[in-house]
Amino acid sequence: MTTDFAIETDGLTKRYSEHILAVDGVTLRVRRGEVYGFVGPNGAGKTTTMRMLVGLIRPSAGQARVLGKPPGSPDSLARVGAMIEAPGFYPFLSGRDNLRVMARHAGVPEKRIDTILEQVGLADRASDQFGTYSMGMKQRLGLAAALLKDPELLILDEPTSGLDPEGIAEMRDFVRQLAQGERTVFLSSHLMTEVEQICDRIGIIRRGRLVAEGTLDELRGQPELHLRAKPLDRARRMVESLPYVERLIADDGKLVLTMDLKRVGELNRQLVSADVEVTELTPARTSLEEVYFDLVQAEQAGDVEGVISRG
Amino acid sequence: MGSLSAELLLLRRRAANWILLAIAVVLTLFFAYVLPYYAYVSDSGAPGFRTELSALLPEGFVATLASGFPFYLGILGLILGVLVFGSEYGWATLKTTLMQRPGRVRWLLAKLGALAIAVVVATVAVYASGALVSVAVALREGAAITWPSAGEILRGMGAGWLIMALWTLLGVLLAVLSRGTALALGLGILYGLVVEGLVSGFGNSIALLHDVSLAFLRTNAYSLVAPLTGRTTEAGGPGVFNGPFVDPWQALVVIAGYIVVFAGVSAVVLARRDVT
Repeated sequence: MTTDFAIETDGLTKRYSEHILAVDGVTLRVRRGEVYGFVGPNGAGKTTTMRMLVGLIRPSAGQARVLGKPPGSPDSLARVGAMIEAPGFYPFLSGRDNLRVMARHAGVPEKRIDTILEQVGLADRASDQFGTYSMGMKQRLGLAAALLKDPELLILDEPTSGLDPEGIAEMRDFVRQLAQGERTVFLSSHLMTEVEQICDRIGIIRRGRLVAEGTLDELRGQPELHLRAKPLDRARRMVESLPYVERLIADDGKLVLTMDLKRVGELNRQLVSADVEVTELTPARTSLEEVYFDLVQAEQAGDVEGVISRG
Repeated sequence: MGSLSAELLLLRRRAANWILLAIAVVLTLFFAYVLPYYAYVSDSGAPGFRTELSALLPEGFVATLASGFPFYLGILGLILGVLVFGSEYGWATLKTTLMQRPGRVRWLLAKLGALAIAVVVATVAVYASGALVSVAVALREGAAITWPSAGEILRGMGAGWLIMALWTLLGVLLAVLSRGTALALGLGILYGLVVEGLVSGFGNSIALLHDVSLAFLRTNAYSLVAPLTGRTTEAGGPGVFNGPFVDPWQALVVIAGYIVVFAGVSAVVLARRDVT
């Protein structure tokens, strides 16, 4: 394995018992500097994979390197910030004192604490006991602890879990900010829209297996064009004759075309000149959620090769 | 050093630890001075439990206080060990801390180091408060204030610290094994207050149990302080240990062995087991 990747796993597996296989041979590569979304339903194996990457649990098989080091080693953890599941802190300590404890364990100067508290928007409540914090504030403190070391790699497990819509939007913006520059972010979520908005590349995990991996565009495939026109038959004959239209499907009173979207203007001109009235010409992209459900269906149908090759 | 100072900060800031210390001091003063002094002045001591005034004066404070460590002070040590380690699982702070960097063994050593210091504080507090009260008794009774030798005081404090550390480490081990506080506390207190006592009781009539009881924490703890307290034979009164006793040096070795084993097993379990 090389160190060109922030995270590399090969056949990473975690089996808790004969009947419980939490992670099943996951092989993934997270490039340095990218925001990688790790998506899947609850119980898919996201958290278990992340726990293995920070050394909280040991793999049953396979291997992993985090920033070129064994996961969980002090050398690796010195450059990794992580928030796995709900943040755990001492309820009798203030937010600031909790960070002080963590900073001392991490060997980080305590003068960084106030900067981080400002960064996560918790400075005003830093002196209050953690036990009095709302869910959103707890998440922010978890993020602050993850940022203490100014890490090269940030591992965030469901950072918006339990937050209200406003909190989700704030957290999303914050993660976007954190991802700017050289920092790598490995983010898990079961909220597809959240990942869609933040991530450069995405891995989809289901029942412990990585079923697809790629950029959002790669996963979604080529965009489609929805065409409504009068008369529809003439429009269809016209479109069928065009060499740059790769695929055409008639669907519920409209035509769904797969083609290079840069040629939409040309298509429109040709339709109009053929005396076709174009009432709608809209590019449409498959959402990550639709991709996910397609993959689930393909997997259930036993098309494993098709599923994996999609990424 | 960073991890040790982090753990000391945690110990200092947790109210439960100060409450335990307060309970240790109050119980000590109550059982070692208040009740015996009441029995002395009212002459109401039960047969075999007559209070000698000398035990309540400064000259006897080491002997008087040392006998509390194998009993209730040990149990308080067990509770401290369980709370300090078990809570890390309950609050999921073990996960948060380990992700910061320290490494499991370093974290364990830091926590044990902090506990060792806490037990020193508790031991000193117990002896200091007992010494103060013994002076008050001497002044009230018009008795001379004569202190034991420095060597005896140090031996008493050393034995007290060792016994409390032993029970604290049993608490640590139970908390690590059970990954929490509730079960560990229940098992620890059950073992410390019931199992050893019952088995020792049956040891009088069953030879095998007698031999087994020679390895008990209480047996060795009471045997360690026996040269200080002078109690090596059966005696009456509440909370008084009825034996068996072993040689004090043997007790020292056994207790040290238990400390090493409890810490070692805790380290191995902590290092090998997943943090879920």
